[in-house]
Amino acid sequence: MKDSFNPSIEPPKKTVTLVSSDGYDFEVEEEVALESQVIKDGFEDKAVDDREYLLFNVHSDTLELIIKYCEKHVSSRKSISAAAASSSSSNGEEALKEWDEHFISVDTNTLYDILMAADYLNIKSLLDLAIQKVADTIHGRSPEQIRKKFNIENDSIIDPWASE
Amino acid sequence: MDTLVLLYPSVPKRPCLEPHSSSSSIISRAPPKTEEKNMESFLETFLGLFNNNNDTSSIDESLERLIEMKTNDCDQNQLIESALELGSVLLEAGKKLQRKRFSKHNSMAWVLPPDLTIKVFSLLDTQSLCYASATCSMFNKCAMDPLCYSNIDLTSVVPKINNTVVNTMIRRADRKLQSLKLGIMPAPSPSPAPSCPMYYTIGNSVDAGFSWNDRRSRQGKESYVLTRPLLRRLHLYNIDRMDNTALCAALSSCPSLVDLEIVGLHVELRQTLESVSKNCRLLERLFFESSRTGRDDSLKSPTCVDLVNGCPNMTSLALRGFKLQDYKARILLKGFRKLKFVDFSTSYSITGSFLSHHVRNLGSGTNGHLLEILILRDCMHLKEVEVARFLTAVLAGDFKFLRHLDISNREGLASESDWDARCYSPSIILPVKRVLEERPEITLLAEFPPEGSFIEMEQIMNSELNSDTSLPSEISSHSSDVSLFMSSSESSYNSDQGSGNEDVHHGGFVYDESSDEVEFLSL
Repeated sequence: MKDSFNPSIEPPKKTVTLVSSDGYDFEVEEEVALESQVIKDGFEDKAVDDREYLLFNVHSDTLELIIKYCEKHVSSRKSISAAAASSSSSNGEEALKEWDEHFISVDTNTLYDILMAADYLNIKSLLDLAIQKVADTIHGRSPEQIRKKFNIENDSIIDPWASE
Repeated sequence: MDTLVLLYPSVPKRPCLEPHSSSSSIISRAPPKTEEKNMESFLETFLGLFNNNNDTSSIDESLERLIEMKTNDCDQNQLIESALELGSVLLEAGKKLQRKRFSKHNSMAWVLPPDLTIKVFSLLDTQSLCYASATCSMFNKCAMDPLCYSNIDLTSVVPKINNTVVNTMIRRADRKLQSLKLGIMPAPSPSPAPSCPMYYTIGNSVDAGFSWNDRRSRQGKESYVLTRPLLRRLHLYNIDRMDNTALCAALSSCPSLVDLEIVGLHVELRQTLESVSKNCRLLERLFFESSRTGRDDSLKSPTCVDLVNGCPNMTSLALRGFKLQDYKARILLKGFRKLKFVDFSTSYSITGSFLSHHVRNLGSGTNGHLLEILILRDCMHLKEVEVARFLTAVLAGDFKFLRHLDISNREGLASESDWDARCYSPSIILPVKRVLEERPEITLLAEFPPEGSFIEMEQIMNSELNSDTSLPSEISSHSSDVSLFMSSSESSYNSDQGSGNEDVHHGGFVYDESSDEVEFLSL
C-alpha cells in the first residue's frame, strides 16, 4: 500500500490470479498469495505466465476475506521488521493481534468458511486463529448451550463417561 | 428397525417395489418384503391415529374392550403384554430413528471434518471438553482422541472427580499426555506467583481427595497411571491422600517433566526434592508450597546440592512455607545458573543474608545475573539490614536483569540485632529510594503494616477480611498463614519454631503421618 506513494521506483509487482469456486478472478500480489503454503509448494515449478489457481473449495465471499487477511499480515510483517530494524518501538504485534481478533469476530457460518478455506489453502496462522475462535465459542458452555449455539441436536444415548 | 425386522424373520421378497423414498431410506439393509409392506401400511394407519387427534383415551377404551372380550385370563395377560411390548418397540424404533435424523442433521450443521474438530477440542480445557463430548455422538467420538487429552486439568471440577475419571482421561491421552493438573484449587491463582491459601474451601475434602495409596496398594497400578514419558507438566494441589511414596513413584516415571507444581500435599520437602533431582533432570520450573507452614525443616544442604546438580535447567524456583536457612538458599541461588524467578515467600528462618553472601562471593561473575524476579514476601526473619545490603549491591550494578523485587511483610522487617523490633517503613531502608530512582525498571514492592499494629491481634484479624483487596492483585499474601502465626504465642518467634496451630485452621483436617496409610486403606 505504501508502495503506491512512489510507483516509479518500485518494480511492477508480480501478481497471481486466484479463481474462486463461483468463478470470480482475484488478482493478488505474489507475496500475498504465498501466505498459502499450498500455493507456495510448487510455486517455483509453475511457469510465470501460468500463475493462476483454481480454488474449487473457496467461495468468492470467503476468498475476499482470506485475501484481506493475507494482505494485512504481509504488510504488518513488513512494518514490524522495519520498526525492529530502525529499533524504534512499535506495538505492531499488539495491533495485529487486535486486528486478528476483530477479523475473526464473524458469524458462525463465515467462521466455518474461513476455517475450512484456511485448512484447504494451508494458511497456518489463520487456521489457528479460526480454530481458537471456535474453541473459545465452546468454552464455558454447557452441553445444551453448545447445541443451541451450533444448531446441534442431541443424538447420543450414552453417558460419555459411563462406558468406561 | 432392527427389532421390527426380527419380529418377522422369514418372508419372501416382494415382487415389485414402489418408489417410496422415505421408507426405502429407512430400511436400507434389506429390500422391503411383502409382509413388511403390510406392516408399513398398518403402521401408517396406526400412527395416523395420532396425527389426526391426540385423544389417547380412545386407545385406552379400545384396549379395555378387547381385553374384556377375552374370556381366558391367560389371553388377557397376553394381550396386555403385547400392548406393552409393542409400545416399547415403537418407542425404541422412534428414538432410534430420531437419533439417526439428528446425527444426519448434525453432520450438516457442523461442517468441520473430524481432524479439525479434534484440533478445536484439543484447545479446550478439560471441563469444556467433557461438556462438548456430551453434546452429541459426533462430538463424543472426536472427544475420544488422545490429542484432546494432552493437557488434563481436573483442578476446577474436583468435587466430582474420582480415580476412575482420572484414569479414564489418562488412558485416553495415552502417550500424548503432556500436562496433568489435579487436586483442589481454592481459587483461580494470580500470576506470576500462584498463591494458594492452603485452607480447604471445600467442606468435604476427604471425599474429594484421591486415593493414591489405596490404588497403589491394591492394584500396584500407580506406575502405569503416571508412566507417561512425555508428561511435561504436573500440578498437584491439596490432594490429601497423596503421600511421599506415591509422589516419588509418580515422579520416578516422569522423566520429561519441565514444570512441577506441588501445593498443600502432605509430603516432605527433602524426600520430594531428592526424588526430583534423581528423576526430573529436565525440570525448569518448580513450585512447591508446604502444607505445614513453617514446620517442615527436613531439607538438608546435601539435598540442595543434589537438586542443583540434578536439575541444571531450573529457571523458576519457588519454595514457600518451608524452613529454609540462608545457607541452603545460597546453595540453590548459586547453583542454578539459569535461575530467573525466585520465590521464597513465607519461608521461616531466612534472614536475607543469602543474598549478600551471594553478591560477595560471586562479585561480577555470571551467576545470579539472570535473576529477574525475587519474591521474599512475609518471610518472618527477613532482616532490614540484609535487604539494605542487597539493594546496595543492586545499586552497584549487580543483578542487572532484576525487574521485580517484593519484600512486603505483614510484620515488617526484622532489625539487625533484635528481630522483635520490627521495621515498618520502606523509607527506613536507605537504598530503597535510590534504587527506585536509579533503576526505574525495577518494581519494588515493600508493603508493611502501620507500625505496631501487629501487636493488636484483633485489629489484624479484622483486617484479614480486607487483606486481599488492599494488596496488589498480582501477588496476594498468605493472609491465613500469617494471621495464624500471629495468634500463636510470642515465644514461638524467638525459639524459631513454627506455630502448631495450622491443623485447627484447616477446618478439621488433621495431619498424622503414622495413620495415613491405615486410614486410607480402610476407606
